[in-house]
Amino acid sequence: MKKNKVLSIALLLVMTLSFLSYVIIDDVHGQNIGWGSTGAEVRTIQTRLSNWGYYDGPISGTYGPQTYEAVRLFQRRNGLTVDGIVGPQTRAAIGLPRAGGGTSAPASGGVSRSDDVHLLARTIHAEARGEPYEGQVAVGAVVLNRVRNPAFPNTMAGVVYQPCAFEPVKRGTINEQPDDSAYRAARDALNGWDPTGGAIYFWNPATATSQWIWTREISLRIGRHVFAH
Amino acid sequence: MEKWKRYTLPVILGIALIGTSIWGVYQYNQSRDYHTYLDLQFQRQFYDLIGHVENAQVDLAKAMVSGSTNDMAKFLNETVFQSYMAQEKLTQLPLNHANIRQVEKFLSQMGDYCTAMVNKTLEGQLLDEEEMETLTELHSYANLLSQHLIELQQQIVADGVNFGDLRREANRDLDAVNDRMTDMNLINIEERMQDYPELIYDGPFSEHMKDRKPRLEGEEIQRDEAIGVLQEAFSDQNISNIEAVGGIQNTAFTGYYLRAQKEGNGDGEEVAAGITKQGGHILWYINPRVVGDSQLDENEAIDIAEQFLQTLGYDDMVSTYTIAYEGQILINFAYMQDDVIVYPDLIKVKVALDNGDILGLETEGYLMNHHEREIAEPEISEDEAREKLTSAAEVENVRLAMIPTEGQDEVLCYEFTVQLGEDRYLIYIHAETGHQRQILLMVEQEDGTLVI
Repeated sequence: MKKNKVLSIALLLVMTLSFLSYVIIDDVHGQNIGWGSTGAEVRTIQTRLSNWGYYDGPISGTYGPQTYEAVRLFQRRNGLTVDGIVGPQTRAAIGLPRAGGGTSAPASGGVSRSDDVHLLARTIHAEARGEPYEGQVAVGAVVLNRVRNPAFPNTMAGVVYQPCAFEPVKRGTINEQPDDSAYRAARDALNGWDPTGGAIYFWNPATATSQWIWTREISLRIGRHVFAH
Repeated sequence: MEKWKRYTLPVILGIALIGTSIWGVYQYNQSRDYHTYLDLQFQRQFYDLIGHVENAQVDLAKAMVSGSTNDMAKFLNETVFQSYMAQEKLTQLPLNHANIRQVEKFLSQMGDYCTAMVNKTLEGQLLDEEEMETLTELHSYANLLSQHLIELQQQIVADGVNFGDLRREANRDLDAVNDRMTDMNLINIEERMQDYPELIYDGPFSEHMKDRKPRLEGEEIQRDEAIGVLQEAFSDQNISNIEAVGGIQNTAFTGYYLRAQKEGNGDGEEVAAGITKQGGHILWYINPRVVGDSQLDENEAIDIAEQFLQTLGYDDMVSTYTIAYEGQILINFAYMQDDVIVYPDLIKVKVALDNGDILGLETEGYLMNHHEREIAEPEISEDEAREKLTSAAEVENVRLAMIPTEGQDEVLCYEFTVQLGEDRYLIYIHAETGHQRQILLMVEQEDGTLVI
């Protein structure tokens, strides 16, 4: 009886202590590549698999059935889990960088703006996941409109990391790996699509706390977000 | 044995308590360290801010009393640098945006305006009376701002220094400065880096000029008509269930926001579009479909885009830039009038490389700017313009182009595509004065090229 009591109290203590200690979540890793994935990394995979004789389809940058079969063959021959998905281990075996994104480095001597795509995609993912696609593009457009606006910082990093500006930055969710749709939306926003017609504010009416924000001129509403000037 | 058992529980609890206390003290110390570190960083930024505003103010004063244009350019340049630095410091302080918006804007615009004045002085022109007055006005606001900042700083020092305090005090006090600046409105000069290689983000001159009245004409259309416009434009692309989900207002174009279903698109891949109220034009269109294997090449895609623009009634459009990525291709079109490329009249089309679907359309530049222009004959000849280029540059192509300027005007230029070392540039020489208006550095990505 007593022994049980001691045991249960010890257990309770362990649980309390582990509750108090930090929970470390390491969710920043490269995206898995599988059916339907597109982009430069898929192209790299196809090129390498083709060079090594696993793949004989076109280098199209799209993960289709042929790529799937080639990846499975590669996995089988190299003692990896045969699932047809390029996860961390297959990634390492093929020789792709670990924390990869979806965009390619420029071919010539110019300066790359792929950092911009990543940062914008992360912001879009953190702010507007689950929103309609045009709503994600709109969030990206707001960030870019702020860069151009004199009342805001002049660089994308300045805008995104401006204190008190974006809630996910404060919470740290900005560091999560964005999904495909966030990347495509970031590209569209950088390429000039702006469904908001130049908005520099957006908020979710259900969670917004600032009174001041409602003094802005609202231009439209997409999904859960209101966009304004 | 019984005795030992009695003490087990208190001993375990005691050890746990000590353990937790040590852990707690450690956590407390650590968080205090972080707090102090952050506090000091923000303090430093705040002092820097004051320094930059003071310097900007002093340099501007010196510029105004300078006798020669050279001295003036020198001091104005310094003012530009100090203003931008001040703006940068201010925007990274954790202050409420609503309270410091106007101050941020003021610092930016002081930098922008002085940049324009530097350029003017460098061209050997004297500033006119109105411009001198603007500088005086800017100077007095800079003065006011630095006084307030110094007061704030003294207050903070007197009360003991803490970042939390700084944040509270600054939010309250700058509000007063803010109110006084509200009625000041300078021309916003967006392009600061004239005559400096500038990165192209999405083709030359695609930045839309905001705050400008559109030249769009036509009758206002109703909600139902807007649905008809979209239906007709994409009649061969199986769009159904078009629904007007909202209005667009307080922008350059008021209009309707539509969504629709499209055959071949998956769940949650509805297409969306904005249609202008006036004239019923498609302002933007977005199809978020994930594309499959590429079947088309660049030229086929350009043909599709061109035909699509023709069915919408946009004739005489030439493609100026393409970039392909992730199975899609983005094509920029500019209007061509009398063999002159008119960059401000810009339309972007995105085509899926798997089945040729139109994935995107963006017409704001065209709708904003398009009209038949009186294009004057160039004052200087092509050869004269060519002499303005550096002799090291290898000219690949030259043509006449109408480009937008920071003053929201347009100027006729010779557009030279040149190769210098590893990089290609677009250089624009003013066709009247022979001055160099703009240099664009072309960043060639894997699939991005300029169509000439």
